[in-house]
Amino acid sequence: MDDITLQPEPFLGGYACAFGDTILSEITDMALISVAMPLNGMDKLQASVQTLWGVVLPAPGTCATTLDGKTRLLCQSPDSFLALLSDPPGPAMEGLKGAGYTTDQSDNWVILRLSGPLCLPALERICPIDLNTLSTDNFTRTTMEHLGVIILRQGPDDVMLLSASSSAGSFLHAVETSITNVKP
Amino acid sequence: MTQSNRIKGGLIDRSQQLGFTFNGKPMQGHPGDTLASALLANGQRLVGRSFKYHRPRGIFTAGSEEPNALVQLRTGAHQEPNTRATTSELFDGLTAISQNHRGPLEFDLMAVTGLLSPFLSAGFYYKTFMWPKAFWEKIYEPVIRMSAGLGSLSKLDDPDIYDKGFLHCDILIIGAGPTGLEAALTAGRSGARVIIADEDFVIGGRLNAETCEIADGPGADWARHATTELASMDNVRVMPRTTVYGAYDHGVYGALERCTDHLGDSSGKPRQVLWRIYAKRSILCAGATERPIAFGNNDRPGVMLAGAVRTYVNRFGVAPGRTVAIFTNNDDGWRTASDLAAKGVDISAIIDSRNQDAPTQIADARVVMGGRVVDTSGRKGLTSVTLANGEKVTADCLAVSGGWSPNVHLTCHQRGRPIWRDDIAAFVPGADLPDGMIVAGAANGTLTLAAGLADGRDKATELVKGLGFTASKTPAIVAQDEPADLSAFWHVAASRKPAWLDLQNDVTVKDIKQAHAEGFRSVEHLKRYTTLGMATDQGKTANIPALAIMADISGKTIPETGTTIFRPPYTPVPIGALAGRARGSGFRPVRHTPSHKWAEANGATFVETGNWLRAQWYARDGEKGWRDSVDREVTMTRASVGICDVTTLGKIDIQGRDAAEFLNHIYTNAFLKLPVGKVRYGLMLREDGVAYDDGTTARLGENHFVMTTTTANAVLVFRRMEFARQCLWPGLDVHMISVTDGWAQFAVAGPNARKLIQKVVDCDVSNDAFPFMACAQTTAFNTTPARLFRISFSGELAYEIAVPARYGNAMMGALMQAGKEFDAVPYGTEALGVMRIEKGHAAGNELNGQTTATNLGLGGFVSAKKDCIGKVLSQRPEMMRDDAIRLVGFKPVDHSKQLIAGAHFITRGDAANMANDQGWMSSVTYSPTLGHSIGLGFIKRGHERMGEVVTATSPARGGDVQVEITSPHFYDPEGGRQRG
Repeated sequence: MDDITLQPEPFLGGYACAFGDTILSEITDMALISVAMPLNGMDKLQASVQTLWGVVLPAPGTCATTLDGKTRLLCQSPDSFLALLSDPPGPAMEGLKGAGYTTDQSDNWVILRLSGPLCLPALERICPIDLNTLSTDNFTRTTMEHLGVIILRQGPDDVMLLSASSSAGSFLHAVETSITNVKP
Repeated sequence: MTQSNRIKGGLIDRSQQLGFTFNGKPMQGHPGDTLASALLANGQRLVGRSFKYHRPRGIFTAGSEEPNALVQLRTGAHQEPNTRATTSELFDGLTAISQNHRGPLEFDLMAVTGLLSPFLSAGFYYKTFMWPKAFWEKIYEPVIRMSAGLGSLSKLDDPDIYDKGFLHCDILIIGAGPTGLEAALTAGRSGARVIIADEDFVIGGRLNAETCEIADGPGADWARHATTELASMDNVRVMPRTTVYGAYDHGVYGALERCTDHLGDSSGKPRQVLWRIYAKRSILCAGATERPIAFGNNDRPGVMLAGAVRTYVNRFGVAPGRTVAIFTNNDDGWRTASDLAAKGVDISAIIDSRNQDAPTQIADARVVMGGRVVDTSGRKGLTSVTLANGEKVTADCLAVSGGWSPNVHLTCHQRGRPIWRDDIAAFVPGADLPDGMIVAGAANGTLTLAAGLADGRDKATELVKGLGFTASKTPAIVAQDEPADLSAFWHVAASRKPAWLDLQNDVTVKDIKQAHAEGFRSVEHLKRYTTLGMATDQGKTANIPALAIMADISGKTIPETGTTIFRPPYTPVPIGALAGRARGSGFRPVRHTPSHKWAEANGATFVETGNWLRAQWYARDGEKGWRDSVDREVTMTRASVGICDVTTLGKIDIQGRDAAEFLNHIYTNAFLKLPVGKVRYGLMLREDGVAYDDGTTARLGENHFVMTTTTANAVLVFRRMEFARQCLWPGLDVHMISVTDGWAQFAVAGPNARKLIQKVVDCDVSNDAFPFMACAQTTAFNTTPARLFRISFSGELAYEIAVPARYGNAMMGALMQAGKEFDAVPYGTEALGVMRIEKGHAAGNELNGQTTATNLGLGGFVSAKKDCIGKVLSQRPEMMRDDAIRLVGFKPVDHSKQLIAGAHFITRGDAANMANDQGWMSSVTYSPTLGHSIGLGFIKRGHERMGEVVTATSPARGGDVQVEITSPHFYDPEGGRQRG
């Protein structure tokens, strides 16, 4: 085998930019895994999740966060979840011990964090969702400029935006353009 | 030019001067002016020419209903035609040019058409230019095109930026006049989320144009205080310069916000934003539009609506004329007289069509009750009006009031029909309003101030309560209702001169009569025959008077005559705003393959495949065209090894105890017993039995598969499988998720592919250990997790290796580096396509939604031992005919001939017609391996006709080529290379 080591490249090269007090940045240190609940496997999955992360399985459209804040579990539908991890995905996937079907989704998504006073005005230009109804620590799925997006609210002016990694450039352009357009 | 008509008062900022030009003539105005008010202030009455007859035209209104004062604003690429001077906010440096004339505005050469007006009546175009036929395209059309149209485009790319956006609220209030403001205050104070939008740049509507009082102060002051209070509420959004132009389903409204139109320079910000507003409820407070009275030569510059005259006097501090006459059928005209008198403007006469006592006394003004204006004089501007008794009254401005029509337009956007109210001689909204909408104030026929305020407050209270809010207990505001008596009067029948109804389209009373005489008696027919109510103003001032005349002619009432349907937009929306930011490279999202950067750096030419950009070929120095590059890539791959990024193929991760059974249902062929570590080709059918998609699926574990789909069908297949999982077989334990973006996948093909792959992965890839159709989870370059598949689309010994996407760019470089000793070559989609045709693989051209497994030669893939989606209908007799088309290969008898994709096959000597059609060529390529053109295609009983020569005919694209039917597998038909 050749003595070559592949170096990973963030989809947006680790983008970070300040627009006044508003910050847009690519999050590169998080992993994502999807967790699907086996048929009739609620109890087993609940037990494993409780053991691994110490949280109750959230209801669809809601989110559960571990006490240390390092893991968020997003319930996307009654039997599927997306876990956002601050650690590599391997231990979590193993830690569920087969109670859920897991798939490493880290490379499927690009993650942007948008925070600051222009956060909501900028999103008004591309996000059809009423963000007034999206409370902190909850998420929803929508489309922005034709791209599927998961939007997770972390605070009044702080969101995490997940979109497909292959169109990361277009997604960044959409968000950047929105900020530029609303910047005083 | 000095501002000779500027008078005292108004809401303009006289401390600042704004310079602008009209037809190159420098003029001055003030902040708060519109272009129209500034033109009038500078004594410019003639502002354009009419569309058809090129008649001199002036400013007629003070709002968005303006039919006359359309100008080209700005210059160069920023030039915009058909801009209403009455709504264009003045800014320093504004340049405006008048429209629709040849030569100077004052001496329009096209005015000669006015002399021909007796011959250019309604339907002229439909009845003339019929003969001779030879003139249609060479003479008539160019001449008509040269004369037609309003304004001209710059024909340059629009340099402005536009954007779109989404807003949400409990209550949308459309219009910020007194009713809208009072409704917004009521709703806002209750805590409801409110958006109040108004097309004007100053909030307040008619309050800014009138002298009425609210709470013992000027109405305009109250409007300003109300706006300040609303702006201070976190739950209220005040949107001036915003027209709500359409009411759509489910409480969705379209609105256009003009963000920088009032500035000389947009400073890189969007000029306009097109908003989609989601409102739980809405209150339409759009006010009313004054309408004219038709009489002879009523289109001269200086003839204006009476309400507009008040606006110019009260809001802008401009006297539209030095000597003003008033012609009215209602009390409103008298308010104009009062306001003019208060400003010291000379009033030569008040002519009221009603036979009654004058409602008020205006000092020094002559009053003619029961009077009529039958004609006007003044070539380029009004000088006098002629009364029915022949008396001429001097006037350079005639203020006309025919009453007010509620702006019901948005109530009709979902087919709502307005209803007639005799007491105000106007249509008001009917009962079938858009869901969630109610109407208040003048838009609802409540035309007086105090009643309008109360209506706004009451309607808002009703809505907020319905939404669960507690209405505020703020005391009702104090205001007086103004006199509003009216006697319907539409047309001075005694006029012998042309009487205009639709000033924008030059439609006269005579045209209406002619349309009726010629049988165009439905309102919709009338509109289309005469062009009444078309173009930028959509007949806002013309429709009702025209309807009244139509009703009169036909002996019906106005409600019996009906109205045309109002459709969005209420006022024009620029195409640029509709496009928003979706222009050029921003038109749609682009998907990049993980090795895109490497490909860019290595000379790739890219091709769009759906949203993906894929490397099409990699040109090298000395190559004269794409064919050289593609031929080289194919030849070098077949000679040694080539590498291609195939990430775009759909990848679906499938897990579950019943995953194998599920796949057995999805695919036509068996997957239940596919061993772990193996890959299998699979075919899917649509429910109707037609072939749908194909690909490979690898079994990574007992309950774990990864499927590949075609690039084009990646989403469709996933969606269809999710439907099957949830709806067809909910009892199966299976889950799936897309991993298309998650894995960068590369085809490594060619006789040296094994040697190259062995340098990359840590597992044994010998033919014994890793045979054709094997798969494994491994690592690439020591540490990177990888998946390896022994599959081939090229017909060569080949592998596909996948690594997590963020390693993809590095992986491509590393593969090329490792393959250097084998002269590894990157290849693009063109070479990929050439090799798949040489190998005889079906792709999108063959899986085109019309072909069956039998047609494709894949009948054997439809298992007889199990069921699958589409199986039953695939067994219909018609789909299993012996003479069905079959996928075969074709090569030219004369190898120097090029085949043409899309050519149809006929027996040699037969005529090229549908009756003799036997099939078509679906894919062709030049084969660098074989040295001639080859093709795949479908022909009846093709599999039984090997060696037969037929004609491939393409009459439209190059005639006939004699072709021999062959196996579709031109290259290595036994498959020894890919299995070796």
